[in-house]
Amino acid sequence: MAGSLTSTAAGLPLASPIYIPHAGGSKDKVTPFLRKILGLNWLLMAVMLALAAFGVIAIYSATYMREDPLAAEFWRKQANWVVVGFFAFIIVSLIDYRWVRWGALPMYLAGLGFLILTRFIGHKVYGARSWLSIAGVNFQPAQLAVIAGIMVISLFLSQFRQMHPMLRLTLCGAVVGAPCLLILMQPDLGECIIWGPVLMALLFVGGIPVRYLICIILIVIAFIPIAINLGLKPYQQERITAFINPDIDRQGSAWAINQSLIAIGSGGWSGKGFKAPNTQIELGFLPATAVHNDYIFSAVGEQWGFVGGMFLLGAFALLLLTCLFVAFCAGDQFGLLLVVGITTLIFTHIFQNIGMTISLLPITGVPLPLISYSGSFVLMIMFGLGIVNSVWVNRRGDLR
Amino acid sequence: MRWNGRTRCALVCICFVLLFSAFSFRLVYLQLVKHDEYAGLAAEKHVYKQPIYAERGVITDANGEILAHNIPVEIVVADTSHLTKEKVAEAVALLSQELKLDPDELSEKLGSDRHYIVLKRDMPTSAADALRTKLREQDLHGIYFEHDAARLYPNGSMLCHVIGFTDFDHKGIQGVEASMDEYLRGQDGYRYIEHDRAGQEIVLYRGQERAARDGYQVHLGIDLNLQNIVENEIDAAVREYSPQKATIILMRPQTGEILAMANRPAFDLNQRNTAKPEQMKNRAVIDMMEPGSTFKIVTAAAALNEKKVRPDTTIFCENGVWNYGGRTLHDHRPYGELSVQNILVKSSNIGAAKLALSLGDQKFYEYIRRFGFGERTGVELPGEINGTIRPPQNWSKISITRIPMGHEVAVTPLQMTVAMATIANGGKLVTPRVVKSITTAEGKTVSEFSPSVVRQVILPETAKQIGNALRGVVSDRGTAAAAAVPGFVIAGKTGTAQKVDPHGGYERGKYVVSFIGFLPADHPEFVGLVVLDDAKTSKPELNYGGLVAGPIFSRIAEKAARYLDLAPQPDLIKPTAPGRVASTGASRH
Repeated sequence: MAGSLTSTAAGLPLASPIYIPHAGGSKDKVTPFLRKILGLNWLLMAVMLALAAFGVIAIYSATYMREDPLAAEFWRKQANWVVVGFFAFIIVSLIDYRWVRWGALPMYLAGLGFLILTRFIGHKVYGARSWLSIAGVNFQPAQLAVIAGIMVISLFLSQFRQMHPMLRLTLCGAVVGAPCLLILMQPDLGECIIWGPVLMALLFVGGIPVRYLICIILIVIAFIPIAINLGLKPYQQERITAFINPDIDRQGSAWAINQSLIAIGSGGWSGKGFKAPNTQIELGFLPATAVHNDYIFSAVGEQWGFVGGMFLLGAFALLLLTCLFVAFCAGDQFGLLLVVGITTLIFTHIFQNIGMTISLLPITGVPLPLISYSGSFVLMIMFGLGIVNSVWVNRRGDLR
Repeated sequence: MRWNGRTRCALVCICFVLLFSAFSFRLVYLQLVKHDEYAGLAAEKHVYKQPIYAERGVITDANGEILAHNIPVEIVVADTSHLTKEKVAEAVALLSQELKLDPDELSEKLGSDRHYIVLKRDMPTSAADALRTKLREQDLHGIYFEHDAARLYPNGSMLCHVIGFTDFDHKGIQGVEASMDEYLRGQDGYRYIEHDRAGQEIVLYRGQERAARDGYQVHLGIDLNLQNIVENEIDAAVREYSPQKATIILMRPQTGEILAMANRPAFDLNQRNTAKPEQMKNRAVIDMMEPGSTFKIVTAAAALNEKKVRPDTTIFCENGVWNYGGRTLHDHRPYGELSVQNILVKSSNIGAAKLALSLGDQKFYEYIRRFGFGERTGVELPGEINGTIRPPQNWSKISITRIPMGHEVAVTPLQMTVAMATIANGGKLVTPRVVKSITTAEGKTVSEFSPSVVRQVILPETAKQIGNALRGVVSDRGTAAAAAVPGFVIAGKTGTAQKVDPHGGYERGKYVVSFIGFLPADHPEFVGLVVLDDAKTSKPELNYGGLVAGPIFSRIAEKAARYLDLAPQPDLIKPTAPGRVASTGASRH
């Protein structure tokens, strides 16, 4: 382990997006710890912090008008989570990601345990028993489980490369299947869907032949109509109907999506302005229970308009591309898979959430990473980005 | 493998970029292409124009007594877009009980997708407050209250035909409420207000506003005290004779002011929803009748004014039977030579016919028109009719003998009153008025109606001659001794016309009896008309204007004179008050 550390430090990044100072070229004067700190991916951190800070502002702008004292505290609570998450980010960044291979399985099992626990002592939020409260901290075990799942699959795929693809597929399916079923039973379809793209990306990058993946995709597509008709609850079917035809029930199931479209659409080019009077959000037309988390992009789109929306999307794109660059530079297959998994996780959340608010996807209650108010999720994302950063810090020098 | 992993990583990257591009395109579409549409939707969602209702003007009588005013009430309206689907049943349960509405109908209304549904009007403010509290307790949104005013008529059925009423939209549709609607209505203002999701007004963002102008007050010339006298007498007459319909009008001849006007059947203005169409007609202006003998004043006035005869010119009345144009004309009693005066006093049909003949068709027709028959009087009451006066070219051969006694013509009671007022007013025809003045709510005069003389119909001395002759009618030798008022000289004329059958001809045994007169005869204070259609008397021969309508006039005139504080002439006060002559069976001429 130590050997690999020094070898990482020895080779300076040739294709690093950021020039990392290395104390006048003299390696021996710099302690390994300081070297690590200086070797952090600063761009990643800056973008992440900018997004998190913007998230706090966005939550404030979406809730400042509320008289409900709980809602008025949302942005402050989010700020607290950001601070906590940032510490987690720094700490995880400084730990070699290879240690994760020891932590992955226990974390995965803990995630499963929490999910089972949630079934009994979890509390319901918007109809899904998905939150667990331990020692005064509320969190969604599903989020823990998904990160742990990524770790386990990355580990597995990087360790058993010679195994028959079919067997690898089956085992990965088992690893994903257990938490997915538990999450489905909560029921939280949105969080469950997240697993799909994440798993596919991991399998794809993990070297499963494309023909297998195409088969899986075809099978999933074939099952979609059956699942929609038989597996979905009426409210979920309504959401899909509302997505396909938002005009059907404007006052009912399509209320939220129509309000979201009106908010974003009326924002226009430059938006109505921060804390502008008379916005749809301020007047409470967007669902009060979701405007600061699932519909935060509607608030952003209305107040900051197209320009703000593009900046936000651009920042996300920069974050993801930085992550993928880290994956590119990863020292080994395990690091590569970890980063790809976490990046896909973040991307899928963004895609589902924004896609929902601009009516590109049906409504599924998933938060927007770093922006939405959803407590522990910020911590989880920052934890994941910490792993990415750790992969960067502990990359191999030679890229060829 | 490593190469493979990185390539695949790049593919994932491309995938991300493509999907993000989809977002960008979608945002371009939503925020740039469709911006205007969504901005419109956003504005429409919560800004709306709220009317500020002007208060409808008050109607008062000549002394400022209130005849029509407003009390604040609330309208309950629903905006179903603010009512969540799950709460509809709950809302229906509460509202159907509170508003006493049919639950099925209500749930259909609330189940629809409309922004403005009126559930109930004229809800008292206290009841509305109670309902508002209950709605808040049950957390029901989408039910709103609008301030409104209900029109209230303190006097119930009194003067109902003149005052009229409004529809639920506060538009006058009868009487003065309709004719003076543009003054009474005022002008509604508006304000733009914004609602949040819960339907609460956001006072902070109150937009443009225009204040309402309250309606003007309309003051009638009608005196409620006189009206009260008239209403009591018309009620008494209805009790005694149960006529199909009855009309009494009091009018000041010099100014045209209507002092009182009552019709039967009548209705309570506060319960106008239950009134029948028959009860709502203001018969004084919209009913045609054959005036009968009262019309002889027109005939006599025309002949005297044209100097064809003098008051003392005698005319042979053919001893009661006269064949003219192949038809026989009867007097109710045979007369020989009668002076023009006495033709009126005795009400000779033959005499009147001969007076008209002396004028000729065209001249006679002109006089009829000059007295205002055949055209609207112009009183401020809706629905007034012209009456029917046929031009001479449409007359039959015997028309010239029938029209003078008030047959073959159709006039309104008000036209007849105006004609008599013309005689009382020295020959000057004055437009009748129910409205005296219009003021703002603060009392500033907007417009005042001064008497408007339409024309000098006959010479003042002709009017005086007719007036003198008409005094004889209300005397022991005239047809209306029962119309006399102790202490006053009265001029008047009776009328008894067979009722016109709507299917043609006359209805046997049914009469329209009338009396029209003024008091005091030499300087008249008021003209009064009493018309009873199809009065039921104990004996058919008692159904004469002088016997039925005369005493009613007498009682009204006596009370009115007392109220108006007219000085009686002591030498004319008889020891006995006029009783109900008709029932005592005294003189019927």
